Amino acid sequence: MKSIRIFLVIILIAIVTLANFIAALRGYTGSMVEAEKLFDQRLLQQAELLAYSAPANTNTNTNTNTNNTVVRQSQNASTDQPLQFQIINDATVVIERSAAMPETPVTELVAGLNLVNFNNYRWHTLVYRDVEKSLWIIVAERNDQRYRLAESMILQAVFPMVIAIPIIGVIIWLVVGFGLRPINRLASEFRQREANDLSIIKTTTMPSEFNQLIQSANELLRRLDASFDREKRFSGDAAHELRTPIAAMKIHCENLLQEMITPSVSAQKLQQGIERMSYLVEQILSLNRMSPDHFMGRFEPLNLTQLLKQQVAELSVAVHDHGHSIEFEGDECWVLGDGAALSTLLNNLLGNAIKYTPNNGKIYVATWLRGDQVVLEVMDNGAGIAPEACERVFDRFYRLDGDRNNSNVQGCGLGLSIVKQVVDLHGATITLTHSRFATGLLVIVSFLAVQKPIKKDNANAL
Amino acid sequence: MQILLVEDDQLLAEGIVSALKQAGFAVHWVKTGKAACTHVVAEPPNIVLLDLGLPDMDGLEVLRHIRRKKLPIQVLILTARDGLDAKVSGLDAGADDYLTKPFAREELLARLRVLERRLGTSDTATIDVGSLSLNTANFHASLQGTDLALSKREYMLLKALVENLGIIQTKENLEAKLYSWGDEVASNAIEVHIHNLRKKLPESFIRTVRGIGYVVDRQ
Repeated sequence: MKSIRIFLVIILIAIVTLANFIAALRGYTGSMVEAEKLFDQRLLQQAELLAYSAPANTNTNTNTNTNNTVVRQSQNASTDQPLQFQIINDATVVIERSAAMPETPVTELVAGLNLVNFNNYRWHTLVYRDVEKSLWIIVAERNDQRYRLAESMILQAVFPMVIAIPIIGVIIWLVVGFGLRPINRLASEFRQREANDLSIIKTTTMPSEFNQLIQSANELLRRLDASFDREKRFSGDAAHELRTPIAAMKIHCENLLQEMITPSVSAQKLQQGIERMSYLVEQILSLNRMSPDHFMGRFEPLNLTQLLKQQVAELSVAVHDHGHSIEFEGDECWVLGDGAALSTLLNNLLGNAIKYTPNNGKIYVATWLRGDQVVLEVMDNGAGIAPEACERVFDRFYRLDGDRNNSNVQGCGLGLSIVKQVVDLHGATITLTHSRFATGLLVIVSFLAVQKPIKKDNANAL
Repeated sequence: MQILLVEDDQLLAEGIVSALKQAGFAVHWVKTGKAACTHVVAEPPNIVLLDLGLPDMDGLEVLRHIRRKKLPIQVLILTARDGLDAKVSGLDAGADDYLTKPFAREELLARLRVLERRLGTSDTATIDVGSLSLNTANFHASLQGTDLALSKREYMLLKALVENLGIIQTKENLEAKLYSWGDEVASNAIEVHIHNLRKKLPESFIRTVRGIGYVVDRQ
């Protein structure tokens, strides 16, 4: 059964049609019998009427010849006239007849109903005896005409039932649709849900038939919610549980280096190791936090330009240590976003540019307002990324041929995966292309622009 | 300079204590929020280093306790919590500064020195950068021993730059430091002040980062 609606509509229409057909058939046969009686009655009335209007048979004894016959002419003297008659006296002479009737009595003069063939048709005849006027009156009606008349009358009565079927079909379609609306409502309730919306479905607005289904679904949602909660708490706890011991190691190591008059190589390597682990933990936590299932951010209009400059400022020591020059150009641009997520995105893009550009390089950042788009550019004059590698750099833990950009570049291959997640969360697009410098990488991220809010947003100043 | 460290992690606390002692601070260490609340009243320190994730109460409660008692204490929050929200709520509750774990020893000491300077004791009030010396207690600057005549705003700008050696100060940040909300700021006000400052300072002492802001590099 592909669709409950189509199934119900077809079945219901079939039932209605069948019932209608049987009713029509019964009605037809019943009506035919009734019509037969009615027509016979009409013949009798006609005969009585004719008897009443017929002249009294005064010349019973005279031998009347056939020439005396009065022929009543109607406008078209044909057998098409519904009723024909003969008035016959006791001498079995037709004294009066309708034009289409023969000059001799068409049937035996015995009172009653009869079926007779003449004039190439089959006729219903009624022989009527008027005792007072001593006349026989024969009224005849063509069988085919009577039948046709009866049939057309009955069909008139049955016909509306046939027309009604499509109308009933439309009504059934609509009613079934109306009746199935709660299913659609339930479906759209699920469809419109955000991936992280696990609130339960209210049973009050749904028909009672759905209670079981909704209860089971709610039970499932509750269990899912609880497990997501555990997951989220875990990553939050993990952040705390990992950062604190790393902080401890870091400060002890730095104390150690401070205490040594000439720092030992091992202590320095230890410090490098701690830095690397610390960076890796932060990146994994970021990746986890920015994954669509765990993202808890709040979207609000943000000054992307301001955020970009802020991130450059936060990385100024690294920029200076590498001897890079950095500059900004562009418009003040506002986007709808989550501050922490966008800061993470900018931090990773800038971090890559700083790390992977050989010392004394050039880094260029910009935000441009282009129609309804905000274009963020981060460009360097490092080695760049080959076009065929551009797809793969977003994969987790993928690193460009294990550090072509020489030795001690710290990285874990998660930066661009995190960037991609933030880009996706914001419905933005990211393009990696050739730098406008002689070599290097240009990263372009396009957001949908929003209006700068009227009220000064001081959350953004942080 | 008395520092109270409120941290429940023994290993980290020991590291911080020895780092601070090496740097010449007097440190007292407590493990719980309750002990911290008692200690700040009994022997008020100058600076509290406060971890937010304490076993007995939220670190922010300790902070509120200090602020309710109106104690003249600078509070630096140390936390492993994520994100901007935690930072905002910490600063809203009255923290003076905020540091996320894991932090570098030098970063911690630099932040403490800034807080120390705010307390205004004369022996810690001087910032020396190369030949420049800035006394934050009496708002006085000198270059190779010679006094520099600076306007109030020039002094504030210079202080903001040398307090954050090596860290670019964005134009917007400097504006916010110089002018309170609502003050009319000419679009080139910062450029004008920097231009005037440069005439009084050694060449390339203040470096321009194009489109972003200014920085005084570590000497």
